[in-house]
Amino acid sequence: MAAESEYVKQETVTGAVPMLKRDRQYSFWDLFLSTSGFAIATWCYTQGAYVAQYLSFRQMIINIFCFNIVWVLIECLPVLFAVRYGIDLWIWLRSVLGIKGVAIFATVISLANFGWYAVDSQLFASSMINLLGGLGLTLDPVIWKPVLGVLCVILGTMIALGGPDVIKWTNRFLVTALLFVGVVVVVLCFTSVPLAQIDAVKPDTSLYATALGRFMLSAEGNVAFAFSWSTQALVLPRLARTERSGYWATSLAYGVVAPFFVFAGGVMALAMFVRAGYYESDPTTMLATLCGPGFSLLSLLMVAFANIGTQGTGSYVNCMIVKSGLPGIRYKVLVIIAMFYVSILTIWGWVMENFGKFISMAAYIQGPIIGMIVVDYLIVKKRKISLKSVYYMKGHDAYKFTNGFNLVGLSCLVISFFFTALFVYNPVTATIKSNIFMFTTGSGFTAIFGGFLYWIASLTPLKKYMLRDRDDLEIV
Amino acid sequence: MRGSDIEELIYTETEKRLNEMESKYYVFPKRISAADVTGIAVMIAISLILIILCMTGVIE
Repeated sequence: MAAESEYVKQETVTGAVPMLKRDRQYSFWDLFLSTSGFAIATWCYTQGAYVAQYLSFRQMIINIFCFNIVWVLIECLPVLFAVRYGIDLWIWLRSVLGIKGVAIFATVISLANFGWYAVDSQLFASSMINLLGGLGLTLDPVIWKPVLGVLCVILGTMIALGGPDVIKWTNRFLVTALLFVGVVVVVLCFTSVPLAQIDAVKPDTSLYATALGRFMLSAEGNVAFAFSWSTQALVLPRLARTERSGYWATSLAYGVVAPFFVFAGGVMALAMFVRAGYYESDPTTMLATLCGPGFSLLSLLMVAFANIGTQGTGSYVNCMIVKSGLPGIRYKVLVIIAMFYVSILTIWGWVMENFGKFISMAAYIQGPIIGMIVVDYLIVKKRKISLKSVYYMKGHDAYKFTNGFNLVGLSCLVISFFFTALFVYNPVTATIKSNIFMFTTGSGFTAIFGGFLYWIASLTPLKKYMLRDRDDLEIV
Repeated sequence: MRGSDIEELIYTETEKRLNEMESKYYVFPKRISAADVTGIAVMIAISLILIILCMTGVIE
């Protein structure tokens, strides 16, 4: 009996069972710091260095912060139902994609999301090799890159196995220190290279002939960056005590804190260009060049601890997503499987080599889901769902659809994906297909078009197929 | 515990929790306010204005 009650407790915080108000562990600050800890990793600097090359300093600031703020504030609206009912996005998505649709897409999205953690561990390894090299200890990258990368994965897995409580306490200290270091690094950059010189850097025009084209291609990267959180963003807010704390802690972490570190990466890259004549995205090399080898120790905190913390939180969040589709698998088993999977991706290195394509392709699946879930929550279902049907309680089958697949939702997703790739922007070849891209970006269009198609479908006779739950709204 | 036992346990626990949420004594977490919605709208509006100023070349 004790084993059963312990298992129930585990299934609440590391499973798909709805969380009641008494289960909530996170205050605003707990959620804000945990989510920020998840968001801050070396990929922020990679993203910042990429954008810095093609835009003026002022346009870079606006591109990084404004596109992230707009899309994160929109994609976080479903946080409100996550907090209210104590359920994850993927539980609600059972009513949009069907239970088998969720089982497939939750697994596919998580397999893609874990690609980020392979990048995370590879960046950890290369930064550590650079850092130790600066201190006089030369390591052969062929041997040590995979070894240090897998070490990052293993340390992150240990945090994930501890669950939300360990994540909360790890991030309380880690993120406070990281935010402090982030501010220090930006100040150091402006001290070593005057702002006027950074502002005077002329953007590289090789990316696209027009300024608007360069601005929107950079925006494509930032929108894809904002979308990358979307399918993982609702796991932690289930632990929040109020809708307000859940929404603002999540959206400020992804929409302001993460972009601040992208901005820090951009500033460092521009300062490096002024000082050394080339753009650099590794904070270890940047700090050593700009401020002297002693300061590169700061990157030990920026890279080592940040990437391990992200690895841990990311593993917890994505294993939770898989459990939404496959609830019978034990959480700890999933975390161990994820550890081996990410280790293989880390050693293989494909994701890192194709980073731009990878984040845009992932965003093309996440975009339509963002559009559909916002439209479904606010307009189609009017913020009310049949919780008993979504959990398939006996006698409640409003979301059975067609053999477990919601053909309308799945069609909207597939049509948005292919229409955007064919007629707006092809993420594989990075080619602009029409001027629509100059207004919405490719990833942004997938969300707008996916939501639009879903809304149009709800105005046709398909509404009967989509909304069978209106007589089954017992918990509102 | 076997797989079928786990699924049965999860089902029973979920049912218990949904029944508790259905009871008139269950208090849901506090909703967001009109001030929050205004804050969201203002942040999105300011961001869009700055983006448009960049797209039109007003901010170079």
